[in-house]
Amino acid sequence: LLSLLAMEEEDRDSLEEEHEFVPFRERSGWEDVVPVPQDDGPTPVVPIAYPPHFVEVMDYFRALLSKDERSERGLALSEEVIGLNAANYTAWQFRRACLYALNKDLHEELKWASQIGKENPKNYQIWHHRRALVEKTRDPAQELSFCAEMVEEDSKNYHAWSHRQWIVKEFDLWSGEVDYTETLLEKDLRNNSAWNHRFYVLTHQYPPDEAVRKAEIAFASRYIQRAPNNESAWNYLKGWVRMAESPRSYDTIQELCNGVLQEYPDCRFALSVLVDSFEGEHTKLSLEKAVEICTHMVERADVMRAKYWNHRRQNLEEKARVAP
Amino acid sequence: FGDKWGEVDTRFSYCAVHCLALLHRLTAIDVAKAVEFVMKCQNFDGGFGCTPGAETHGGQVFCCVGMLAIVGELHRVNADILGWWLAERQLPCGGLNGRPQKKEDVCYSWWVLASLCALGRDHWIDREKLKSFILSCQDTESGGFSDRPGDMADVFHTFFGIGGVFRIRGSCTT
Repeated sequence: LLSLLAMEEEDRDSLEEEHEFVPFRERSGWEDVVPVPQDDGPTPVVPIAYPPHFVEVMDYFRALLSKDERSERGLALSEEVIGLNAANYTAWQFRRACLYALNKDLHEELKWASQIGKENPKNYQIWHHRRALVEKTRDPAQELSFCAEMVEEDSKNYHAWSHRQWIVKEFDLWSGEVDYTETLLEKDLRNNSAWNHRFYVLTHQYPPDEAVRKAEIAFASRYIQRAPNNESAWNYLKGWVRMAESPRSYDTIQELCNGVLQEYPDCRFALSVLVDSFEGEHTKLSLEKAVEICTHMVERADVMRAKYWNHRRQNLEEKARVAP
Repeated sequence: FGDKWGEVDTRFSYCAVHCLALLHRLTAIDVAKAVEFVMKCQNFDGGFGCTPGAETHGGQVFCCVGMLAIVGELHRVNADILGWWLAERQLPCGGLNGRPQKKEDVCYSWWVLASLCALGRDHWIDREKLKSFILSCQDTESGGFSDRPGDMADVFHTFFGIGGVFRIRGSCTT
């Protein structure tokens, strides 16, 4: 229902192109099929005003479904249903059933799926269809470049990134991925998806080397120095810092934060990480410094989240009281 | 959790568990395994994605937090770390985004706010500012809400905008 309402302009236009629609009674090879109407029950609530040709296509689709007829005409019909509503997962499932039963060339199907995918970049069903096909073909050759193409269009397309993660893991295609994230970060260092993918790739063999952790903290630091108000780079940094076992090197992180604060004294990310670092260090002096920063946050640097910083401050004040 | 055709996503974990809870049929599934899967989706920032390793996303956080809350396993989540990630979704305009460096969108008034409420951390954002933002997304002609001020209204964003406003009104924590 929602997907029907949320349909793109173009799809709505094609819905209205009834003059192109050939009624089933005029199509040869469908005479044996008895259309099955939609059963909305005796008193439907908010019934949708489907256009007549939509109703007819769906009535014939339901007929084939009820017989589980996996045929050429079934395959063709699935494409027609998908054309009317690309989110109809029943149509996609039925399509796959037909493809497999008819032993169709799945590489050809992937080409078609790529075409439709580019027109509907955020459609869950199309991405899942892709994955199902590749699960069968066991051939990931086109997949990374397809994902890259989609990411080129929309650098944060969640589906494209999820698919890439699956391909990389399923087919062991890890090499080159770290460099790929760097290429993307050079284009846009605020791309949270790229940062996430980098973390994913580097931690797929858990636990990662201490050398990797240090290198990635340095990597994040370089990007932070280039653009200190980059939430993603700071989150990435925090992820690696949190992972460390004691003793941790507080100096490196504090040096980074203080460096940023010299130029941007109200950078809430640097201040926040500094609070975490002082808290971790856990001396009376460091905890008192952390308390001071919390006050700064409440009064100036992060007023919107004042209640959070008050909570943090209370916590830290308590710790400072009993600290050595 | 996936649908019977294999699509796996924490959205389904939430939908399945919520439906089963309403029907008093949670025993029909292996809750422990379902929880295990959701926890595997927890990321380095304390948040959750659709599958293990997938980027933390406001909508997915809602599904995971919701699922864990319903089956009584929310204690597995570090509420301070995740609460903070959620609180950071609030932008200077008062609206909430779903991921770092993305634009505000009224539907996150639901996904993010409800998650904060479940974690008892909804006071960590400026709720009045959020309410003003939500109301600014209302189209005064049609009455519907859009994702952000000036865009076209639709049922989806109207539902979540209204949900957000009511959540703020009946605030769960002071």
